[in-house]
Amino acid sequence: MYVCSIMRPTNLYKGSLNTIILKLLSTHDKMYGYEITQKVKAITKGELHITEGALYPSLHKLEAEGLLEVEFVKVNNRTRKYYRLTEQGTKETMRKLEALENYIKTMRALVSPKFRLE
Amino acid sequence: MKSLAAEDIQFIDTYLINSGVHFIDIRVEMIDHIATDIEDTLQVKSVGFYEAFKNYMLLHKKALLKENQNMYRHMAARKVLKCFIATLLSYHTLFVFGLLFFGLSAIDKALDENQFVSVLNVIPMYSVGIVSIVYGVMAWNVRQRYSVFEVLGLCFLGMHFAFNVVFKIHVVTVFGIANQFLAAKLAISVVGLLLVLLIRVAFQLKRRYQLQFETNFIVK
Repeated sequence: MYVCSIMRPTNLYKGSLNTIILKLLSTHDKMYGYEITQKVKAITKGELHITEGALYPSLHKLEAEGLLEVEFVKVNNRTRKYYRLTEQGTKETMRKLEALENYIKTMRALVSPKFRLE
Repeated sequence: MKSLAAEDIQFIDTYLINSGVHFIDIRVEMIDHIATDIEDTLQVKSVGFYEAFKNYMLLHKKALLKENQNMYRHMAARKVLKCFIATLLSYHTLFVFGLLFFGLSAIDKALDENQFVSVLNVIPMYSVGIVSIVYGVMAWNVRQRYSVFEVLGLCFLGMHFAFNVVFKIHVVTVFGIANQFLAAKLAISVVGLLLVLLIRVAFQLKRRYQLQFETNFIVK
């Protein structure tokens, strides 16, 4: 699985890919693969670029876990696969975001001397 | 917005097949991804389709084709398992099991011991026949290769193997034929049930995948 960025903190982003995808889908009705990569690129101002080799296995995994459901739409002579969150996916997104926020807090406390955990 | 022609999409599809992406359920997203990227390029640059395609592949081919085929098999296996469990938990399960068990019991009652043993002996051979016919019909009927069907093929093979092992252990080796017909009937009914459920799962997935990929996908 690859998530590349300009500064290359690859391993830091790797573990967060599913959370990134779920969070994006929680703010959109449905999205397709290319749209997700472009959205991430735009939000992070090009800092984070999700490669195809990382994105699609993650999407398929989330689908297999029942967190995402799919819809096929014919667009410009081809089939487009849209993903949207299931009910279980919405709950999991909240859980993952909470876990990520706790992780960020903990890391900030560790690396920043002035920051204190409440 | 410039959109690609059907021939351009076909070109991308053929390129991916030749690059080893055989399963349509994997390829369909790659085609859309590449095509959308090329369409974006054609919007901002005055290049033709083939040049844009070449430039895309120069930059992304490695990442695109690096996708782990084993990972997709693993995902496909999970989808098959999920469907199998859902089918297993339906009321049909009891009905099929009852049908198999009481069917075997009826045969047992109607025949003498030697005749019943002869019937039991041909069951593994018939299981091969059933599996081969079902998988053959399915393979003949679908126009594309799907990752789930490859997994199903392995499941059928495994099921046939289990059927034979269970049959041999229960009927021939451990219990002995004369006084353990009940154990044999139960074992055969359980494995037979799993085989029937797997066939049902195969047809459910075939219908779903054909609906998703063969009715919407570009017509060759």
